[in-house]
Amino acid sequence: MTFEEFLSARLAALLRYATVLACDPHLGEDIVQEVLARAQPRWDRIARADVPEAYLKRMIINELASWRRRRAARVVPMSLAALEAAGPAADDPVARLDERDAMIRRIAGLPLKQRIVVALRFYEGLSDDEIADQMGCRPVTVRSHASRALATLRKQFPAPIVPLGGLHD
Amino acid sequence: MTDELIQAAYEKIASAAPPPERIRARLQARSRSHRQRRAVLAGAGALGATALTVPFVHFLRGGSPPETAPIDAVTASAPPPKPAATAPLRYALGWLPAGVGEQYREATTDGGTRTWLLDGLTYPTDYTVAKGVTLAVGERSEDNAGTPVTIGDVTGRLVVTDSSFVEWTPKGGPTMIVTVYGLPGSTEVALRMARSVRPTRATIPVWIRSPWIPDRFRGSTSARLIPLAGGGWRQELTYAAPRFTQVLRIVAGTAKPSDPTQLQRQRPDGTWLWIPEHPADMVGLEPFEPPTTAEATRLLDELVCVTPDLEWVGGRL
Repeated sequence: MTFEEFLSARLAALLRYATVLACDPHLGEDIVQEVLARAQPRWDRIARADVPEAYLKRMIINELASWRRRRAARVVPMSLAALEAAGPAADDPVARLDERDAMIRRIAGLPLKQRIVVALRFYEGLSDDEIADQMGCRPVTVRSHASRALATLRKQFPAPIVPLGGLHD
Repeated sequence: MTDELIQAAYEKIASAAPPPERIRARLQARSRSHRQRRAVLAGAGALGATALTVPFVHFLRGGSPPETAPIDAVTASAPPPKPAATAPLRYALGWLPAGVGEQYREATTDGGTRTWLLDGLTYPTDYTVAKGVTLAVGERSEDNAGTPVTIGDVTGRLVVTDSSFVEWTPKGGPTMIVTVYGLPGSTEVALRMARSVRPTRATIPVWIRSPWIPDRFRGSTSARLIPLAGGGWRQELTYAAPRFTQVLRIVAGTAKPSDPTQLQRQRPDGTWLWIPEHPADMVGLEPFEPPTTAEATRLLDELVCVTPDLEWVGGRL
């Protein structure tokens, strides 16, 4: 598979992946661009790997973890207008949308490594071992990050709204 | 319930991913740019301007400058340029790997950053990372990841990704980070560089300052100087309120801005001044309040920007 063929087939998926990890479409775009720019000159070697996409995904994680990117990321945790423009979801109840958007903000506020672990688990559906492979750390570390992240998300999430007069069947 | 919400949140985030066409176009443009960059000979630009010299910390703390006269007079017989301010380095390297030269300087409230790139490279302005080494004084990463390493009489952290980072805090000093990217033996180079760092009373000149800024942007300040291929340069002055809740960036350079600007103008000496347009879809911890039109006009009217001395470009320690 040539570099161009790979881009045609998988660039959109890589952009979604980076956007989810970064919690920011703009930062995700920058990271993918940088990773691909680095990968292009050595594509022949990368393409010989069993799964070049996995190789690039790991590059994306490494890039996100670099302190330069973290420095940029602290300025812009989320692009709300881009999110609003992207998905209509008009049939969702308003309260549900509010809860989801609140969750997006909670996720965006997580420390970077916790955010990556949660994204890989809930968006990519990876196991702890697979996440550890992607992040270059031990599974116990993944579980530690996941545990702390989920505790934060659950703790910060508001209690269900109970209408005046209580709940009725 | 929470798990479902997390998954729904991620589906929403993923749906905001940018279209692939845009990044493909940028990759092609980047390839063209690199080809052009290789074809251009680098060199220091002609210098000649005058300015008042004030300590960098003076305007960092919001003090009024002694004068705010325009600084754009350029004459063939002008004396060597004087900086708009000076900033203490605080710490400096005692050792550098062979084959790198200085290509980037940034003075900040807490210290500053200097970058040395492989000979022949110029500092990228497209958010990519060039091969080389960096010492950042007053910078701190956001976690305690990495392996413990001894730097002098303190314990620091070594983190190896596609770059090697050494972060440590000397007793009584600011936190520092040494970064090495793309060099042979990057980790060993990073450790040796970190262990060579010593306190210094030396200062570096700063060639841009703003005598006035709106109060909501007061906090930390940084002044970046990026030499460009062909002898050009770009200077960026950034003010950020605590926790980066509000950010103001003012840019001066030899090239016309390519990205959207809120306000731009060209001085008689050819220097472009501009305030980048704030992306409308960005949100931070608080609603961003970019400069009003009147504020932007005053900022550019009063900006002190001197053609920088670039003799240090390509140098060593």
